Amino acid sequence: MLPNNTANPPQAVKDSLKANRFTYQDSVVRLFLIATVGWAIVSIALGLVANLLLSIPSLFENLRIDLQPYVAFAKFNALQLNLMLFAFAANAVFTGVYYSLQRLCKVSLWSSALAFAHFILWQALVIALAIALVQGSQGRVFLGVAWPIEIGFAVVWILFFGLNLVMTILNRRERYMYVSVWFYLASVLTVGLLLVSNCFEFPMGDWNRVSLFAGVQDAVRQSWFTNGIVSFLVTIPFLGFVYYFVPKSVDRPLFSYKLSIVHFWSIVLLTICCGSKLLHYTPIPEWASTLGMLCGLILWMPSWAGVVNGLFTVAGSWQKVKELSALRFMIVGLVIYGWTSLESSLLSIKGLEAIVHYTDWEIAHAQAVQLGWIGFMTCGMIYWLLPRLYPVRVANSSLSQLHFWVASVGLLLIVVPGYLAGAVQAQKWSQLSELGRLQYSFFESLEAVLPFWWMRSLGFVVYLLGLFILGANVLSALVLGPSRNESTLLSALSRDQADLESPVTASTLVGKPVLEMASKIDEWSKLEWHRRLERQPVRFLLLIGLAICVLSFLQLFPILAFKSSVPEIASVQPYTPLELVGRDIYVSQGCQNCHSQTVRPLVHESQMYGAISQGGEFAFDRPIQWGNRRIGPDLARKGGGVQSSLWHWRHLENPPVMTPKSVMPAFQFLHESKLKFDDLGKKIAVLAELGTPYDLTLENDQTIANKFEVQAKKQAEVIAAEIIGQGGPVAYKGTLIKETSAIALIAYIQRLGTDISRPVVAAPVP
Amino acid sequence: MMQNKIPALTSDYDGIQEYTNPIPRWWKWLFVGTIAIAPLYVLCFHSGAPGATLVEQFQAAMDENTRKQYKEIGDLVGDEPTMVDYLQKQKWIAVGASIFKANCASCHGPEGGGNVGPNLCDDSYKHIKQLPDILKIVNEGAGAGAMPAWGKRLAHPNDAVLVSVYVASLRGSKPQNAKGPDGSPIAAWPKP
Repeated sequence: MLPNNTANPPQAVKDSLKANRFTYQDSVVRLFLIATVGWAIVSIALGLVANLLLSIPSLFENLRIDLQPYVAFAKFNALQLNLMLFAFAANAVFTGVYYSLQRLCKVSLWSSALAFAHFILWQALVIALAIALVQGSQGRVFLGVAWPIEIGFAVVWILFFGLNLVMTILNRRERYMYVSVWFYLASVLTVGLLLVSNCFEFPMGDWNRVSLFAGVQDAVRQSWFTNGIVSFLVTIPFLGFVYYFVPKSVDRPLFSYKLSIVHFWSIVLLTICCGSKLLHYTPIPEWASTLGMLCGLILWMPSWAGVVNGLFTVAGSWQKVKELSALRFMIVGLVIYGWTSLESSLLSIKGLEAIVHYTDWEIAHAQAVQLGWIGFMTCGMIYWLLPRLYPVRVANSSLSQLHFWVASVGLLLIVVPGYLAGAVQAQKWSQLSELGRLQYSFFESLEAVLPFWWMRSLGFVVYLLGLFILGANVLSALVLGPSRNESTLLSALSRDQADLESPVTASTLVGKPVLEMASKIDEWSKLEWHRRLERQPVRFLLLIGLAICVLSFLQLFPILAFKSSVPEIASVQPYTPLELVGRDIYVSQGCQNCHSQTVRPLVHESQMYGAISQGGEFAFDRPIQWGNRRIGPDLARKGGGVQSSLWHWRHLENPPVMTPKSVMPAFQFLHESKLKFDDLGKKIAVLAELGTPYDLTLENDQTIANKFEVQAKKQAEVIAAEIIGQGGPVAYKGTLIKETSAIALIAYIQRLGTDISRPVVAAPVP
Repeated sequence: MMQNKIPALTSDYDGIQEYTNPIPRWWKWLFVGTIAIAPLYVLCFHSGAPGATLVEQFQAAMDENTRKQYKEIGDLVGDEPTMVDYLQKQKWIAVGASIFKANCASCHGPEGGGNVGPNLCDDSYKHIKQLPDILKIVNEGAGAGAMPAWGKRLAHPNDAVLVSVYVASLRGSKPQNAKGPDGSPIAAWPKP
């Protein structure tokens, strides 16, 4: 802001203005905007296909058999989840940050070249991520792909985005950092830390790795990562957008600076602590579960602080919300955020989460966040940006009005049937008869939700139509806009000069005849200390970093550092080589997208699935596969012949033959692919190094690889003989069944949950 | 709606100004309230009081559930007279049905018509000549693991008896898509 004595500015001011001519770097913002719209369409289309596959599992039945592994529900589901976050939402974040940061700092980006490189590298990484996920997951909800890609994400985020952001802030001409910038800093720093921490794993071969932690420890680390990445990559920067785009659109001052300070610190500090609320009733240490619950509950008001600040800023100008579709999108997005954050807090309560966990309710909740809060905010932001980035008559207002209504109907059709399906599942899973017996089988719950899944597919189609309208708007801006976008030349005082022009006074009491103490208290109560912090980006960043690190350390260290945090069970043994191969198939096919692997201590659950799970049972699970959705039944106690190996053989070949109306895709390609032991030796060597008690002693000219390959083949023969003995085939399409991949997967399934009832054998003398 | 009486801060950012309105009172109190719950919760559930942990709560609920289920009948003896007797008791056959649905339907079909496991509704049986044989097969399994041994898996010995009674009660029903007969025909169940 220029000093108000512009009539006759002193020479120093004139010089400073002359020396500080600049333009905003908006070309890169345009690129990210286009990418955002493109990825939004791709992600929703993938979501549609995933959802359709639930209603029509045989959708791709006629595809060539060698393509079948790549078109299962799990693949589309993982793609949709990851692209929604790393492609759509992340690009929206970059768009908004690059645009608003320059304005809020009154300075051009520190490095345009870095920003363009960021754009290209990020899109390349997203494509690499997508390809890797289609080939096979490594067992995580987010990322969980080849190592170099994960390292790539960390490097690009920190060195290409974070560095540019911090340097731009340091170069700013504004004296203070506005509240949006605080949120950007928190996001950049925390996501950077999370992405780096995600790379710390144990290398195996060139591309692969084995997770450093096993079982419960891995689950806790994963929940910390998942919760952190979703919150800090998306919600935190989007709260920054609320503080920028809402006051800009409505052209009114922000409601409360004080509230924004409390909002920022409380939400940042509490969010990082509530990851374990995703794991209630699993065998994690109970204090961790309680920590997640209490922090999640306290998070209610901090979340609503954003809503209050946004809505109260608009209060009194509701007419504008009616007139401007950009503002309307944002306000509705903010209201949805109010709902979903209240829901998050409620669902962090153990007893409530127990009811809806693993049901579609949680999916509907997540989609209300992604498509409602994030989706609507992004659309609002884009409609607000379009006429500013493409100075030409664009953003046909009737088209954007139409988009608003289409998007709203689509969202309702996706989310409401999801909530209903979740409620039906929760009811059917837990309903006990007068005699305390389960009323329904798992498949009765599945049949009951089928109509809702159809409605949801319809919702995806409608929401997608809305995005096409957005795409048309952007396209028309691109085509009709000037071929070269000239940015207006601006000038502003340098920060030093601005300081000279109107110096900062700490307290109005300074120099007055009062005690020194009094002026200090006055300063504190007027939040002058925070005001000072807003002028010190480096200190601000260090403070956030310290807080995030300390809080993460306090919750993770007691569990990750001590084996005693998870009581050991003597009878639990490492997987056999064949089971390891089978487990890798289970992980890479993404079975955890539909099957959980933990029986919670709930009466109805133990009636449906068997004895409750104990932490020590998962001591050799790297990575953990507890899963978070039960489209199919829990598998924690499926081993030991609950269903015979023949049953599994036939079920994998064509599930509806064994369970009519099953929605599981056929895994016939496992029957037709040869059992391979490529990485087995390497894997066992790495696992042994990590402390898994494999016997690595070798005879004569044996290698680790062929020693364990022999063991695996022996077990494959045993299982094949079992299947044949039970009336199964000897060979499948010309291959002996003992040589097929399916045998390994069956070996793994038959192992699940059986160790606990195995008699303890004394450890062999070394 | 809130009155913006408090003056704005002097600086502005890209045209955005900020009021320094106080934090709404209801917001403050709810925030403090949720924080206040935390120590109370920890005190109630983490002070080492017996029965407070999730697993202990579960054990209590399970005991209660077992009482609810079997208080009336005590421990059943799996002999022929008992099974014949229970074949008349619809209430307990229904309990057997729910055990069947959860554990047996995947191989024997939802209504016992058979699938990879044999049809249980016709007059032909494998390994079974009289009623207690059903219980024996349920408990010990058969067919080289094709039929698993359920004795250790079911939560209560009564479960095995009641599911066997339910299976016996299926005889003579005609579910859709039933398999052909397995094994050989046997004499009708004894009448009470």
